[in-house]
Amino acid sequence: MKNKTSFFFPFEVHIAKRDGIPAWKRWMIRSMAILIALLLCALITILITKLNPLTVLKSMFNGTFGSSRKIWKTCFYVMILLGISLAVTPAFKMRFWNIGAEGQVLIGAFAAAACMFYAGRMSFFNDPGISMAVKNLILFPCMLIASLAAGALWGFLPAFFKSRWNTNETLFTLMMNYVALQIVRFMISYRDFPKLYQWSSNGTSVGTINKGFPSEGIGTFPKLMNKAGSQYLFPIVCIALLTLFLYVYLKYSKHGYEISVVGESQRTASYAGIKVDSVIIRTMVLSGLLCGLVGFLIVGAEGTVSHDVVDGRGYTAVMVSWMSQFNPFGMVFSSLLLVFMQFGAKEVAMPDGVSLDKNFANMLMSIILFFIIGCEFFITYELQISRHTKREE
Amino acid sequence: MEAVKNAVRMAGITKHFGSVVANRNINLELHEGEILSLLGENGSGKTTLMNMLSGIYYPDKGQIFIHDKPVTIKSPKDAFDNGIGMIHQHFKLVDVFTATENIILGLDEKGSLNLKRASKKIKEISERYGFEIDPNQKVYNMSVSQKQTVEIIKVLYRGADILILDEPTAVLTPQETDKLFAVMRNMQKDGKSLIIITHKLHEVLEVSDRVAILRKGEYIGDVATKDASQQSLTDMMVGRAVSLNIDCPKAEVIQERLRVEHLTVKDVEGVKRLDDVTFTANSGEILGIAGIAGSGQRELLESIAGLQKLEPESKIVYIDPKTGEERILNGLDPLKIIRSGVLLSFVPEDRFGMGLVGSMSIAENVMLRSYRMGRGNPLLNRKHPRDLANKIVDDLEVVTPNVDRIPLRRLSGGNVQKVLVGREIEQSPTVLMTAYAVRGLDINTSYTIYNLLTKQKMQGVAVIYVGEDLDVLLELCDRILVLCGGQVSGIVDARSVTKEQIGLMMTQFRKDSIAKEAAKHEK
Repeated sequence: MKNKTSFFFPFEVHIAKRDGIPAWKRWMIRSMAILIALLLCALITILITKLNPLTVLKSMFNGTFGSSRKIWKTCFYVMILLGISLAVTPAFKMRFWNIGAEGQVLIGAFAAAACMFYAGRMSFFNDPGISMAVKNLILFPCMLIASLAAGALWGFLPAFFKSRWNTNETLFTLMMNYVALQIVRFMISYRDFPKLYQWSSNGTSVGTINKGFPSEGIGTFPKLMNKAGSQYLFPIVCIALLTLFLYVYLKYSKHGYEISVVGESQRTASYAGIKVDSVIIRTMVLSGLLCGLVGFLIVGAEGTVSHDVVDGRGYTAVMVSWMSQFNPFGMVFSSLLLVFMQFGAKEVAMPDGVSLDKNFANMLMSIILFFIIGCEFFITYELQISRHTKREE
Repeated sequence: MEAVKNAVRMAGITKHFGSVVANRNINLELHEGEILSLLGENGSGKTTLMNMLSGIYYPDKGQIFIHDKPVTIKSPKDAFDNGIGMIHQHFKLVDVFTATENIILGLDEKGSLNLKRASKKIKEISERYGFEIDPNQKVYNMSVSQKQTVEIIKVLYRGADILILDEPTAVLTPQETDKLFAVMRNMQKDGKSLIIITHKLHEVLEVSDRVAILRKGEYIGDVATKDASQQSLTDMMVGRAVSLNIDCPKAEVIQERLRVEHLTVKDVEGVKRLDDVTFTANSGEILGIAGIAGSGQRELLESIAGLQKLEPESKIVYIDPKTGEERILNGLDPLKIIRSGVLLSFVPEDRFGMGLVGSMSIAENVMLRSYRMGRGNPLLNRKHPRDLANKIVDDLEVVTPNVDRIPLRRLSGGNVQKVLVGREIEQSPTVLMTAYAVRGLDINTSYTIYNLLTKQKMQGVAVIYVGEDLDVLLELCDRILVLCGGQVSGIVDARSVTKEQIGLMMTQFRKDSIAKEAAKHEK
């Protein structure tokens, strides 16, 4: 028999699928990956920028946790990303390739903002004699219901078309994103909401909805003892509860079980008497509802809406969900990591910081993500190194 | 006695999968020009061992010698370079290609693509060994047996002189099996060495020269086939004496339980898969269903289970054992069938594609039938299925490290099937349908399942058994329904019919209809 390799390696490496791996080993591999990634980042920082990598890291930390306002904001951003990730998870567990979270959140946010806008034109909400608490007590439920309904509709449509005519859900949900985007763009310029100029005392700044009206501030979450950033508390608590709910829903509920079975094999599901079509629709409506909820929370906290209020987080959430292997608690860490990188990158680029280009921080972020995702290979597979068997010619 | 030359020698082969030892220190020899049967229970490591020879796995320890030369086989290509070809259980053919195109697919021959030359070479190979094949026939027009022929020629075309056949007869009719054996003997005469894996002992005795036996990943020994009997082989394989009789006692009470009338099913292309099928299934009886693979067995069972769209003339009636009330099942989906109180259990042919979820644990798979328990409670009851899973594991001797963590896919085929059959029986059904319940199972597990079915029958369950081994069908069943091309070609008493008669009925309808067609054309 012919022997093609003329050079001789003393060892051979084989890739073999692991049969299961203890939890401690799994976490060791992951920590190793992060450690190596950080070392590599440090090396690159030194080589390219001649800066002390610790300075850069410190600056990134500063951008994320530097002041109480920054901490509030970081927490809020983590929770929003987490919320969207949670929302897309049931659909992905069902192998329904839903990339429509972007549009679902946006339309949810838009619905809440529309409630705020139109309520702000009503005399009841402009009556200074009625306390803010009463106004909000009426307005919040309306906003919530509108957001949930809008999100649910955006989730229902692709699922319905999928189950009825087997349309491709990836394309459908993607298109729904554009529909939502254009609706919001149109309404903002056509109905001039949020009022950007006329009622704004400062004619150029981006306005909040109802600015200048006596009804200004309705429908936004109240601040605790007037502290900056504390309006984020309500969304943070909401998403924390949602995390718990989704964990239980996916793992311990009958619905969650049905989702897993449908995701694994639709034929097995039908065999067991699970109605595949209704599970798909139900799950996508849930996904849309949760996205709508997140939209409501964003608008309630920020008091305004714009076409880029979701800012691509609908897509980032897909990554967060997969990175955490659909585990809601894992998503907390993934979201935190991503938001840290994002804010850190911004801070690094500040002229009063280390004044590095934002792209440099993004590069570091990519390196770390690469290692975190890449190390999953070593969790699923192992490298077996064996001595080369001698060839006798 | 002249010294035998070894085509293959595997020395001290060990292979681990995680903590599980699939093969432990195995020394196997295949002499040149012999047919060797590799025998062992499910999970005994036969397929793992052969996969190492064909380059799919790589041994942890040990050395493989081909024609007494040490070799390293790291990939299927290395295996081919060493003249080893394996014919797998599941065919790997491109449906829209012809036989020739499939055979030369992936070959990197010098010069331009020359289908004519390839066809000629295929014809030569066919004539030499007695294959019947049309090189220009498309694969989607082929029967299972023809597809297998293509697979074998593919290997021969690449110049293999050592052939491994993994359960080649599992999908063949007795007549087709005879043909395959004739071809194997021709290859042997031509100096090829063959290894055949099969669970059917009478085939082992018929075709092979020598039998090598594995048990629990270890090499037990080998015997010359002429010195072996079914009983001695089984005892070696299992490690203790096993009784090889299937009881077929007559139940005292036999009642009509399921009546199927004019059942007709069309597939998406509008072709009739079942055509006017009428029969009854009785409690206290095992109704066997025989037929060439793809004659409508799957559609028949799925129709009863509510998974097929029926033509309007079809009627399926269930007779409630307690009240005698008749219930129409056609038009109901599986959930409605469950809700209407019909206790129907179904062991489908495609285990992971339909009956089970491979990535879930045993307990979660048991839950598939019972997770709706406790209506009104949105949460799952996990304890009950876990207890049931433990019971099934104990009762049926399922080998598994645990019931609630390891994914079912990791268990061996026999254990997976035990879980499926166990779950379906635990529903205490009144109708139990099984499709190829013992396919790919070793003799010991098969007998466990035959006994379970008989026990169910004696408890008054109406059992429907779709099978492929005619000997077993005759021994196990009370009546046998023979399907041919989606039509019933007869329902016979299993106690008085012969294997040959059934074999004829399996192919008869087709011949009749061909004759009719021909007659039409002549007119």
